[in-house]
Amino acid sequence: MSLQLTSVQRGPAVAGLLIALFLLLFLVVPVGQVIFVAFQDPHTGEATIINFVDFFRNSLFRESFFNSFYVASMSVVIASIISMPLAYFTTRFNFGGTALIQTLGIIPLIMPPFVGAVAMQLLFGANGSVNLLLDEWFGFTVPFMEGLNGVIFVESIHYFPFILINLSAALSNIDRSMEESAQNLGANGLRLFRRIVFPLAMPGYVAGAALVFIKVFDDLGTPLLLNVNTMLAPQAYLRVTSIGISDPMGYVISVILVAFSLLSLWVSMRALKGKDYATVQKGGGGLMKRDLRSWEKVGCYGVVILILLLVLSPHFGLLLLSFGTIWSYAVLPDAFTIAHYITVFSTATQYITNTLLYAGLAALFDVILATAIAYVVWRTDLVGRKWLDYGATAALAVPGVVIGIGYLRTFHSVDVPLIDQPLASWWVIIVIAMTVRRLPYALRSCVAAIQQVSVMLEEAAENLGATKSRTVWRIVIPLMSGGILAGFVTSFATAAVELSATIMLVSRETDAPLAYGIYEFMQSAAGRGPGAALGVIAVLFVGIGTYASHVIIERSNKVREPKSIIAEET
Amino acid sequence: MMTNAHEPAGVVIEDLNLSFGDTHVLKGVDLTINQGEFFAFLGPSGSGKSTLLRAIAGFGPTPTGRILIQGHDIADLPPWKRDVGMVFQSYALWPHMTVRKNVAFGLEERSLPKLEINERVEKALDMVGLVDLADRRPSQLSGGQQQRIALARTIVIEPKVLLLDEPLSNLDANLRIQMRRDIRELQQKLQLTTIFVTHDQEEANTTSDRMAVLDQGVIQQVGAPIELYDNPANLFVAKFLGTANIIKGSVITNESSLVFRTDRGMDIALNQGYTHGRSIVFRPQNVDVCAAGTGAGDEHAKLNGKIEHMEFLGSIIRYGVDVNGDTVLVDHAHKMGESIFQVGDSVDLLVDRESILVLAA
Repeated sequence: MSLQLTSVQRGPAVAGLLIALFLLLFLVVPVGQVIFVAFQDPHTGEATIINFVDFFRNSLFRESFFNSFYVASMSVVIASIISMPLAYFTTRFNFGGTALIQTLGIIPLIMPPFVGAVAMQLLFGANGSVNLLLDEWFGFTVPFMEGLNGVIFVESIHYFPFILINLSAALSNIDRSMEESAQNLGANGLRLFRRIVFPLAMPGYVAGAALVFIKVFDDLGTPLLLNVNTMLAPQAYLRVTSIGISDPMGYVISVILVAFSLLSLWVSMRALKGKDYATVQKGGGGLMKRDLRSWEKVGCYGVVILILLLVLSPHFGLLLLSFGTIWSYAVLPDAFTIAHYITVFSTATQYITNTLLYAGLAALFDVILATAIAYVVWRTDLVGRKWLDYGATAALAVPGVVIGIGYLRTFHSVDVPLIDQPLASWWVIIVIAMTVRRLPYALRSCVAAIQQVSVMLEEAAENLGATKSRTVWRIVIPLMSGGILAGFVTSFATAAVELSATIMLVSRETDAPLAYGIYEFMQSAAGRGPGAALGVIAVLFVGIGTYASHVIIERSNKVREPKSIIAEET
Repeated sequence: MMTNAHEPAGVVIEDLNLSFGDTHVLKGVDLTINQGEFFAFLGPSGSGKSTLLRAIAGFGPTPTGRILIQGHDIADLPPWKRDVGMVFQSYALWPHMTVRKNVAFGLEERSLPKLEINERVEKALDMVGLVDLADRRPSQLSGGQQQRIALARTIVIEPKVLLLDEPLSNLDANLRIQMRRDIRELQQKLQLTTIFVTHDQEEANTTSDRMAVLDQGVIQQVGAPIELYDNPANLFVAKFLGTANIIKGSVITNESSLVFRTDRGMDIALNQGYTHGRSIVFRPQNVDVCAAGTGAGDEHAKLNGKIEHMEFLGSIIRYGVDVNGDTVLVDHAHKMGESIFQVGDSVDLLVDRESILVLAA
């Protein structure tokens, strides 16, 4: 391979360079800036680890660090407890509720956890519906939402599908013959489970658990809305917004967040690497299933329905809150009204229009970038093309808080010509943050799409006289259109509820998108109703988006794709 | 096939070398294919036949050497400027376009007027007999129909050369025979220089005027099918084109006669004309089997052996006969009522001396 470009390489090379420049400017430089500042003495500017020493000397930060770690770990535990029976039922028994369980795996993902957090407080808080009933009937209450418990509760209900989906996939990929040959050689019961089923399902479980851990560890919106500030992400946010962008502590926390992100991504990849345990052979499929006895059936349905109620409670609570008049010290709101929706549509439409504009633009940029990256990586032999893929995917490991802080630091002194204000406070920066953060989703979707286009179809076009660019235009893009569209919808839906980077970059109310609006409203008791109404609108956005993307993928993929989960982060 | 003296050859390949990374796939290929000829590349998988075809179309790694089409060097042209029509093994029909759109594609890329495009598409579809299906999607067609559309899509641009990459391999056996006749007929009608890649010698034999047998990136032999079958240049060609008996040994010249002495020490009489060689080759159908003790004339080399195994194949019976430690296969035409030798029977083999070929290797 020579560095001299042939004429057919020139176009892709230019596109590749532009994308690389974009990623450098809006991902590498801001994150690098954050890391740099974290290791810099605030007064002398010298390289130092004194900031980290200061961080661990401070009892508040030590507590925050411990709390974040505790909350993330406990969320994994609770999420595992919810997922395991569900995964087990579907793979072990001929269970009629399988479709129900699959639905269970999607419902939480269509609502960002911070949206439902306040509603959960009204349902499960110290004076919430459940505890009022418990107190009335049995004379005791459960501190579901007390302090860190609340964060753990909300997060695990939201994120358990990551474990459920991965674990179910792992279990159903175990071939019956694995189990039968173990039985044939004398193993059964628990021993069989411990020696065969468990090790084979382990990689899937670990991958899911690592994802849950990091999502919770990085989450900013949920603790903020539950008013739990002694955790890392809220501390970073509070330091930067209250003390200012020159305070090193926000950067130190950012570095810790990035380090943990990388660590869990690494764990998750390690778990799956070289362990393609898909043992299903032709005609086989899944572990041995057996029919349930009637009392077992009752038990199974009981567990599933209990979890379903739990999973639906944020949605249910949010709906009640959005239609309720006053809801305080009562099982249900006093009365119902549509006043909150009227308030939203008369005073807060700018949140919705801003979101449509921002998320729409971000999703558009995402699919353009993703299509170009997919083409350059999979269809050209340019030197270093893989780095585009790595670079764009690396955004997954960068928490929104870090992007937000990085942008503030990097672009507060960059003035945009003509409009005469820093780039960091221009609304376009929010679009860019959304673009960078959602690019990995669009990219995976576009890469999957281009991999399904046989190279032969392109060669046939070239053979009949179409140049490379004509071939891209007439063959590649039309054939990728399903994946591109699905990527657009996913990016749009998830960008629409992006909070952790947005919250830092919103410089004035009129520029704020939906997620920020929900956060603002939820701050005051009076704003909860309209906030919930906005929340319902957000859930509709994401829900319709997720459904549309699902339908598009189903329709365009005749080949069955391995189950993958595309989830939002906030 | 006659070559017109004024007309340059259809395809000329000169010293073509090509590598995938460190793997040298095509090694100094030289080949001339006449204008209007139906030419086959025949070889086992991995022989480089498809790679050679793709190199002509401009796909794959850039080779060194020259490729001339009707006298013009096309080696530096991108695929879209070569004017060689290729039919892909999997047909490569575009699923998002109708049959008509698929066929019209190449003409649209050439920016021809709409009217002419419609006319030529209609004609091409008519030629493959699928005008009625013009508005369907490729996924609604059978394998054979898809094959015809792929063919129509390629011939509609009136390419200088038609390249067919294992076009029949995805069809079932009956359709394959029909399709190869149709392709041959179409080629004759259009007088189109055609290169057909296949690993199936029967396909190559039945369709092509001449063929090149490839192995490990090297052309082993070029010629008409019968010529290659009867006079293989080496052991590979002999074996690849059909069942062959190969016996190792050396040529011995006595004062009066010429014999081939096998490595196991048996003499086989040869016709005059050979002076050296390390092996002899003859085909099973050129050997007669008869009960031991039958007399033989000069036209036959007589070998004595014992039946080792017997396979009834319908029209023939194939005997494996142990001759002094070498196994010789004999095809005997089966006729009803004729007696059959059993395993263990002692027999005489009469090998047609004319058919014994002495090869160097």
